[in-house]
Amino acid sequence: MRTNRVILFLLAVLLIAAVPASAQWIPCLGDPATAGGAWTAPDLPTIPELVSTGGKLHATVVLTDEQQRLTFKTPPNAAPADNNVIKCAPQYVRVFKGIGAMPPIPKTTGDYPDPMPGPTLRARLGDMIELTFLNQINPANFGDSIDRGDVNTGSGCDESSNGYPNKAGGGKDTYPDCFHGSSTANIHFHGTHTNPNSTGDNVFIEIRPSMRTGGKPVVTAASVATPFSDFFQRCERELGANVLSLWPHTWSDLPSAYTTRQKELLQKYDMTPNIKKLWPVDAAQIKRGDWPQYYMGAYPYCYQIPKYTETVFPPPAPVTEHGGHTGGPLSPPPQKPLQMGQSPGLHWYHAHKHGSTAIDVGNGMTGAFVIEGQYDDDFDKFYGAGWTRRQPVLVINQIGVTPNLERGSGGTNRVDKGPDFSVNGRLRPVMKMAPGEVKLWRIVNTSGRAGTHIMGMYTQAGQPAVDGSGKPLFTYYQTAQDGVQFSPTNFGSPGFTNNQFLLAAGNRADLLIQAPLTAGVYNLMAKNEVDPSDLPGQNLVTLFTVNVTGTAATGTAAQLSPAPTFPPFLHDIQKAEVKGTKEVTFSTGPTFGEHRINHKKFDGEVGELVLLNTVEEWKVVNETFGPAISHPFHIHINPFQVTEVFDPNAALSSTAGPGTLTATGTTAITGSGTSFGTLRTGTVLSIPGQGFYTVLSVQSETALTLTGNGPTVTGSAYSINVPQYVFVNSPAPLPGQCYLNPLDSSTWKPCSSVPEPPAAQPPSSTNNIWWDVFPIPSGITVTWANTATQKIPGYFKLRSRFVDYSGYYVIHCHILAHEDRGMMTVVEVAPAASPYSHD
Amino acid sequence: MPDWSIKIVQSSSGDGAEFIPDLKGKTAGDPLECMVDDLVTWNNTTEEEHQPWPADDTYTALPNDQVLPRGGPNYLSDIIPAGGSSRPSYDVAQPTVVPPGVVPTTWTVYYICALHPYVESERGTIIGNAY
Repeated sequence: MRTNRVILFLLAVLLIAAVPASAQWIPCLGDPATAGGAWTAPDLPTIPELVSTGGKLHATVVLTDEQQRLTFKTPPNAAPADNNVIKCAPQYVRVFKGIGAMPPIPKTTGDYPDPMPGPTLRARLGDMIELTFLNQINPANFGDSIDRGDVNTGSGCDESSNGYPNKAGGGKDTYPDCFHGSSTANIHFHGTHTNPNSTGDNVFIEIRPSMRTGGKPVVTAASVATPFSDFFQRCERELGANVLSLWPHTWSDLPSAYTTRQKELLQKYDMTPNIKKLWPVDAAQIKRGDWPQYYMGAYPYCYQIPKYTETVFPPPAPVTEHGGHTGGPLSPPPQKPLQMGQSPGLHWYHAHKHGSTAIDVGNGMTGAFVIEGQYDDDFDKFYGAGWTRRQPVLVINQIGVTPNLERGSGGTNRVDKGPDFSVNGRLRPVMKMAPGEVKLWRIVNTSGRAGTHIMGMYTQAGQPAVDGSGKPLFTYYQTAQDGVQFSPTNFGSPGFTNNQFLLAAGNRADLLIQAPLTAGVYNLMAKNEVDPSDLPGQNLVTLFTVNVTGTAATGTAAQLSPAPTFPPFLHDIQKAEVKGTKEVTFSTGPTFGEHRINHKKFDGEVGELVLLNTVEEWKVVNETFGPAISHPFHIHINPFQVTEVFDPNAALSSTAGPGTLTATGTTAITGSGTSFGTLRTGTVLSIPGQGFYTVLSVQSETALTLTGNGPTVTGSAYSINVPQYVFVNSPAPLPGQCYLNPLDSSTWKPCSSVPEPPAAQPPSSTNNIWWDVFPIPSGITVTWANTATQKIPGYFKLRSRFVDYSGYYVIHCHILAHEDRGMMTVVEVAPAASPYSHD
Repeated sequence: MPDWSIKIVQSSSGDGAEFIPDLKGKTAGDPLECMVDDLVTWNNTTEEEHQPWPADDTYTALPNDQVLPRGGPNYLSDIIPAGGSSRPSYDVAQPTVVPPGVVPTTWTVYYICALHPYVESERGTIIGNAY
């Protein structure tokens, strides 16, 4: 009985028992059979694929849950490193599975399956995407996680006895900008240029798990097969007639057998105690002519991947913008040519329900989406038929279960930089290449948190893989960014050959890589990065190993291909095309842990309004002033080009400092083994986990004073940055440095902007690469004269063509815990035409 | 850090329920072994409500003032509806004891069902470990 009082000597209630115990760890994949043996790196598995045939990707993706063998760093707060102690435990995770995807998932060597990304979707420009999506998660296998505000028992957010959401990282998370509803899902087709509404790339819909009877889902592939088949056939006809029609438009465009059953299921769910009801929301949206939001168990995704068929850019002008539009962003626009096409390349998909993106992506709900086109055809023409389909698709993720915020106390056991990177569900797997062989590595960082900074190929001894003359043993060209191929100008250019580069969360890159002619074992090394200031303090970690072995490749298999044909619609955006400008501000603060866009957490309201078929230039600002975070900006539907980057924390050079630093939250620094006498005022110290600090004065080799607020560190490593930007004129800036006046915001801009793309017509004006995720440089707090302070934000400028598809979609931070906690807003792209004639 | 699930199932004797760590090979009465700050939830597969509640080593429920407020470090769960799962998630806390500074590296959390405290099968243990 609760009323029975027991006298305890413990302050806390938990009793200590002398019971030897350990967690329920299980052997990891590759662990030796006997203690003391060596770990064997697993082979890189091939991800099962769902492939389009006959012009359509007609497939079924099931969202389910299972216990998988997941890896954990011990202790959890260990910095990412290859020599960490890794243990494994069976864990319930939510995962995508493809019905009939091939090849089959490798059988496990243990009692539980190992992680595997969702099936790779493979389609071609112009294809119809017809996906039956089933949500068959058993929510009871996880803590109660509801998808609407639970007004009677708690906050509506997920909750833990550690105090989440009230103790959320310095702030207090409130519904809906908190972790919640993690068994409710949808699919975001990241990188697609398509209909953002209804059954397209619509991230506003929420598909609850099917109800269960006798432990089994009541909504199944069989139960929706007939209505979905009818729907997909009609979808083919509608979009085949006009790829820009945005069909389906209303609830009545869905088969009545499906809508009637959905209504029944939602109304039954609404009888659950202590929830806000779902069907009334749908009913109100349907009544307004809007697309309803809530579904149960199944959803039919149907859209077309637009293929640009013009041979020139821009396409021929439409006859008129008037005469066919009947109003509203979801109504069909008049028939006109595509202004852009989908770029063929490596795209991806993941769960994107607000409040659960971080946990679901961390569970492994991500997969690659390869969209084929001339890019692939040209490679196949050079290397042989089907070559591109045999190239490795490499899905990086930080697989885990529940975000840090819901657990831990004061960060004691927080996972440093998130779980370790896995590739195709494996830690440090092994890929084989023949000597001299060329492969196309298609890499996507689907991690919900850390960027993967690719450092290049290294030997097993941890040294860069170079020959005696310093020439790299591997040669690689970066051939695409974010699923958009590089122009011939950039293909194989020095800046994109054997380059180190960041794959922020959500970024992709293709690497055309040639192995050395001699056999050997090498590692692709990386560092975890949320902000460039992280890099000096980060360890090199192995992403995967390349075992160069066997018979040497010959002929074209051992040659780097010329650049594939470049589509005309990827022509650089010219300044003269820009018809509108905006400023969008991402910020963390004032309390750390509060993440906003335009100083507001996500509330479903439209944050940015753009006219369809216009080009805009946005200044995307980062008002985060420490710890430094380069929030990865992401926009759906349309890629963009970057025309200017201002990183007030940028360094001309960075070297590891001798000795270590200690400080207790003040600006006075004590060094041990340091040589502060060599530092000058204005030099910046980068301290891992603390950010950047500017040297104000040096007292001795082991004592100096910093500007601003001081760090709290004990025996910390640090790096000495020669900053690109200085905020005092004395001493005079070094060569390469720029002085910015902290009192004059007009000077807060880069030393030299990226040159304008030349005005010439393609193909000569195609050297600016395209992105759909780009890290916004963090801001800086500068102090001068040791008293005055000024916050100077970082920013970048983008240009994008908001073309072809009107409707609602989102921009957000791709550190997905930030998105879930409010760093997202809605973009409305409205048709430029009115429904009225002026004849 | 791992998450763990404990199934609440109908007792094999047919009277009351049992707690079984949801792991291969585990049976009723087995402890769940885990690390500090792991999350634990209960999956109620029965047709009755249950509520895990901390107890002493004689499986006597701890008094409210050592458990509440809801969401505190010793609070295991609200009442779990039939077919539902627990809320909030239990973050396995490392105990603090008298005298201060003595922190155990291994400890046991005893719990019962607050709604059926005298049903002997509705008892369980969680063994916590520090890193």
